[in-house]
Amino acid sequence: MWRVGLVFGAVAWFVSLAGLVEALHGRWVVDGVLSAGQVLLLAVLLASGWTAARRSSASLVGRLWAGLLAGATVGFCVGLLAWLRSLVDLRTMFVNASPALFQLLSGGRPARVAWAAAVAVGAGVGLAGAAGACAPARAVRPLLVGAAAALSLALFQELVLLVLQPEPLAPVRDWLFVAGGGPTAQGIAAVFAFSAALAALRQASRGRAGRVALPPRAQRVLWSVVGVLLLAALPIAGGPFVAQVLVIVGLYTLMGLGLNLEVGLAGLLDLGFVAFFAIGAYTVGLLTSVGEHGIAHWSFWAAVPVAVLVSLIAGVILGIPVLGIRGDYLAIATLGFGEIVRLLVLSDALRPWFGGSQGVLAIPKPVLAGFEFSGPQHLYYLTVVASAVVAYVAWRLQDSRLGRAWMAIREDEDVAEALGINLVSVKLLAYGLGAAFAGVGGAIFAVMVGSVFPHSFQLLISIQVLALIIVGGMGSIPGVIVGSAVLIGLPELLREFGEFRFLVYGAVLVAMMLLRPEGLLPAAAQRRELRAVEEEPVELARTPVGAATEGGA
Amino acid sequence: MAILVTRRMTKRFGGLVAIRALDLEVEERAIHSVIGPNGAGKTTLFNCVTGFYRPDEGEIWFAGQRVDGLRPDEIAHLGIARTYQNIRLFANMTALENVLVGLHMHLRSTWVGAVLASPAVRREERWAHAEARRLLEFVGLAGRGDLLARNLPYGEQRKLELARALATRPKLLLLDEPTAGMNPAETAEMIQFIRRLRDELGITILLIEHHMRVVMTISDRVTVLDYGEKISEGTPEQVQNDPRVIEAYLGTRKVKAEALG
Repeated sequence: MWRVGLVFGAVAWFVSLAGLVEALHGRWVVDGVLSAGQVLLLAVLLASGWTAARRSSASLVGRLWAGLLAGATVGFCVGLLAWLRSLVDLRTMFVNASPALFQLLSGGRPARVAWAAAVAVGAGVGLAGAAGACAPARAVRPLLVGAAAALSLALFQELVLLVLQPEPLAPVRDWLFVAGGGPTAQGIAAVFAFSAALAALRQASRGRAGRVALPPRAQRVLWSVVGVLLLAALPIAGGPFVAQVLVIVGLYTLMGLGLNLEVGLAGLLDLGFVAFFAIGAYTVGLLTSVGEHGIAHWSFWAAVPVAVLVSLIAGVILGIPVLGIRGDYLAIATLGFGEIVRLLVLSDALRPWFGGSQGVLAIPKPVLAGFEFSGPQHLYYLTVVASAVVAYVAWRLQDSRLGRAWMAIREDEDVAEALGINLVSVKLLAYGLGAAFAGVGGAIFAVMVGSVFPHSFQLLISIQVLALIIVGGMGSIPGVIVGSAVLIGLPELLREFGEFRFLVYGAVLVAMMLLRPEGLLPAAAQRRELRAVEEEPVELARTPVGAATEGGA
Repeated sequence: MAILVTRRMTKRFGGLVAIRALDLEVEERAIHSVIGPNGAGKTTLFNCVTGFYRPDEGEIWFAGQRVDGLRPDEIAHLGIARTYQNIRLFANMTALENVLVGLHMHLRSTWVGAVLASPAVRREERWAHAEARRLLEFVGLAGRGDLLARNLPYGEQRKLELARALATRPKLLLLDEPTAGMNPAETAEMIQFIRRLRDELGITILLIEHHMRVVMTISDRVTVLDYGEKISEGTPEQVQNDPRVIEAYLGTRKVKAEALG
């Protein structure tokens, strides 16, 4: 058990020395009492107790003891770090090992007292984690939901405050938040209690048979109406900053939908996907710019179809040389393509046309019937409509003859070919249509920024798009949207994470692969499958108990 | 009349001759078996006929047309379908989707039509789903359409592979060890099923099989390969009594027995 503790102790060291704890310490979860940094450490402790209890096959007392021991070990590790720091200056190696961090870890007490305190606190929290692991899921889930809601309130407090800005809402605001500070204790408690109660109620009603429910069709209509209203209201309630974040989420969604055709459906790994985004952006830039590189001074609406077409053709052109390449080699070849496009527009030889590193400037905002899409709040609606159209197209394609052929070549290219599928046309369509989707995103990006530079189209974007598909669920359209909201939207909103974005990315990706390799919202086929074998999960849920008793005996 | 003909067909892998100057004629509506010890070149023959491999020498003719050198999808369009020795389904697609892929070349809808959901496309999709269900029922997989192929039990995976091959509406069906891993009852059922394919659908069957009982029961004609060469051909009785065949199958053991004795 102490081994689990050591692993989580290492995690605690890592998040502390990487600076994550201190960065989060700047944000109150309960004003003046508990910071997000402390919550992070507590979460590590809880997780250690939970994992230790889960791994142990002993009796109830034994499992609780395992959790306590693991938590104490983590506490010991944290105390050890604080003690080490009193001996040597860790800062020469770890720039983030600041006095503030150790003030937080030791609570300002002398190292030895703090050490003992850390072990005691660790043991207690570890025990709580173990209790969570031993208790039935029905009891634990509402608590988790409540904690998640309370934490969201704390992490997104700027956002909530923005929404509560209007004067009539002032009483709610003052009740939930300390003026100029974090959430109040009563506010957090209320949010926790409310969400937990809601989750418990939902859970209780699910088991009951005769509950009142609308027919599925009406439910779907109701939810779509609520969804549309929510989408329309978001930027108005959230202001320009939120709208800006949502536009970026939308652009990644557009790219994600395109790459999803290639990777998720057709299984063609593409690491140079940003190239098509760039091509869409540059096409719109060159066609509409009123600056020196503008060639046509077209309107945005005339330029978009051309941008989509040019991206599509670029996708096909990329596709032709890599038709015969499979798997890992394909990833490398496409990686090269992405870089080629970026270096071409950056090159001095083509500077007269593409502006080199200066880029194409003075791209006017789109104007529709006298209305100018000037700020992010206007562009948001443009992005939402574009995403909706593209998602619809993707959805239609997925369930079509072509979509099935894509899946077939993903599963087994040779067999698909022996069933009469022309690999050349099917693959080129995947590259072309995927690229066209990204081209739509690029077109909006160009007018959003008002200029396009080669530096906006780094390899990193391709990687992020791939990551969001994996997190969302390969081949799943809702998965793309969720993935882009989680991987792109959240880090934008959580300013503390700015610095640690890629650390969190890595952690999230590893955790996803371990815990939920099929993604957050897996593709339709898997869901249908789950519904078809509905009886089985009941048996599965029983197994751990049986295994535990066997182990105990 | 022969539907499939190979003339002096040779396939080499580096220095190894997998098939040497093979002359084979498969009569229309026959059940024709290819047997031989492991490594005799049986599966290589299938791979050459379906276009996975291009023969180094010789010709392959199917239904009066030369097919060596054509791509696998072109050959599929001419009416050749196959199953695989180690089942190769689209594992992460449902059973129904597997069959729908088999119907691919009989559907006309384009991606533009699919996006616009034109009436013609919707009609065709309805027809395709009904047809796929009918095929699943035909092979005995009624009601299993929504399961992922990888979650089907072994026997049903074999059936699904057959349904998918039948969806292409082949004139010639190549079956690579269709009864491998089956118990006697399942084997008997498979024999019945193969007969039905020939008798009801008029499909010519070319079969690789190791179960001699199966081969001798259903074959109209048997070809025996050994080290890539045809060593015998004829009715099951003729082949069974051919000394060369007995030697190919038992020869090594005899030699060993003598050496040991």
